[in-house]
Amino acid sequence: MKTNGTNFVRRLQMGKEDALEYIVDEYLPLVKGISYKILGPLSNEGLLEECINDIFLSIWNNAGKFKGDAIQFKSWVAAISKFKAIDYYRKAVKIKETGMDSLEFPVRHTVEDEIIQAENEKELMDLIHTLKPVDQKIVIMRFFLGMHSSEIAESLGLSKSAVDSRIFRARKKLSEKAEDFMLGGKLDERYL
Amino acid sequence: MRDIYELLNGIEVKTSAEDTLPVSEMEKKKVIKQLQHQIRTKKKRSYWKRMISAAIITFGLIGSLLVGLSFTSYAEDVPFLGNIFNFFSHDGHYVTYDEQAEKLDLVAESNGITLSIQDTVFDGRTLYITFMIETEKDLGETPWLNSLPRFTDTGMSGTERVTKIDEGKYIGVLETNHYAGHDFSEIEVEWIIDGISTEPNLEGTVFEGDWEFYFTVQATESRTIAVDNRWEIDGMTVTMDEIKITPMSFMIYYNHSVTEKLYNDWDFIFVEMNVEDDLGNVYPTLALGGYGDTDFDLNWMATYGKVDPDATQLILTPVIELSNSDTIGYDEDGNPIKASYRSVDSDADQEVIELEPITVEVK
Repeated sequence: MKTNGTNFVRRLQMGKEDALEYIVDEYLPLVKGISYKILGPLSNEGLLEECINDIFLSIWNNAGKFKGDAIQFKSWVAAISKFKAIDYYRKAVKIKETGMDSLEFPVRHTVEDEIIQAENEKELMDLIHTLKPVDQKIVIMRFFLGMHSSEIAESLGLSKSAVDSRIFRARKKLSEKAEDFMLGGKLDERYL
Repeated sequence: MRDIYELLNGIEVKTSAEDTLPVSEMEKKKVIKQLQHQIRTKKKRSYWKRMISAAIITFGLIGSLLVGLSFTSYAEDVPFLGNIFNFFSHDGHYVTYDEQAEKLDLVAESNGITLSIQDTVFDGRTLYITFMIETEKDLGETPWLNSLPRFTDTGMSGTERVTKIDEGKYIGVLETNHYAGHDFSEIEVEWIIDGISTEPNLEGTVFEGDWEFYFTVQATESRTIAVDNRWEIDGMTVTMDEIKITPMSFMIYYNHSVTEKLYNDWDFIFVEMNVEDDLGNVYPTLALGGYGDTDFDLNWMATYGKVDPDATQLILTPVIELSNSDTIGYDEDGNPIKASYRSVDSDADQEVIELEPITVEVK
């Protein structure tokens, strides 16, 4: 059987290589577009290519975690692309910054920066899971996908001020939880 | 394991035509080629093969010994084909697998040899197939099929056990694992055999032919318990991931990372997980495999039998085994020549470290 528009998600989840070819064929314009929008200003062709490659590899390696149909798959691909590209951007900028005279221009770490750095920290993921589902979404959209409050508000059908106050509360809750969990040195001050 | 990829499910990211950029065919090909290279290189780095080749030797010895001992008593218990799993279950494998099995009854005939698949069970990670061989030809005591069923392009490994139950009649169980980073809920299987031989790897007398099977298998129901625990010793960290419980088995997923020094000091680094429950049952490891992106970080998956339905807790004790391979001789300068294996009663260096046990609620 061959991969086509109706079975590609299933075949990707089965680890079929031709499904990977199919999604590159289908989604490379989107993945490239999103990555370019974020990484373009850095004018680094190699970094852009690396990021695009990493996005597809992540999709392949994590296909089993996707739940939904072909339309939702597109959204998932877009979300991964955005999250990865932002991650690459932040890391690249950080390297540039440390290259400069960092004494005169101390790098200011925001909560968002630190959270994205901790993307692979299982503890953080588990902490996010302790939030209410809607707050989980808000945290992901804000911290991992760099979306503005107004965009998040529109997507979730909330008012902008509601989103802002939820972000504020979620951030507070996450730092409290991190202390509770006694994640000594892993998540407390360094990340939140 | 909860991670960002799961959390990104259901988050709506609006995209429009403006978000896309034109891409040439060349560009696509380049990306695909690079990806293929990466996923295939990853396969090569897999540790499983080394594990399995060692396991085959062990299984081969133990398997034939047990089958040999109990052959007569079990042969009578196989009047029909449905309970091949039971036939092979006397060493703790496959107990109650038959209850979960999907009947297939697929038959392929070639070169005077009939091969039929009886049952399949798939737990998301490992595919089990029971089969029967019928022929007038002399295939010896344990014929070899020399082919694994394929159901993914992520790389696979497996073991088979075949035994003679009557003149011209053989039954077997075959296990195949995949290396994908996640479990599958459904698989499309393709099993093509082009030679059956009396010795492994198409050695001995070879009967060429063409036996082909294509079928789909759904994974059995399962539930997953996330377990967070970390052990650290000098040069090594062991991290627990999760336990997956199916109606007939359970699997423990964990990983280890080692420093370069420790890696270079030893030829083999294994981490096993000893399991007991709160009722005192001890669960032997039925299968153990590991794979990783690098040799320093390995993901392990260990398979055990069915959890006692009355048990409420499992007690897990990681056991690290550091060992060296056998010395099979000395070169002209008196330096030892190392084998690529370690025999069971080897006197080469070995160190076993038992870590602190942890208790996991399974109810």
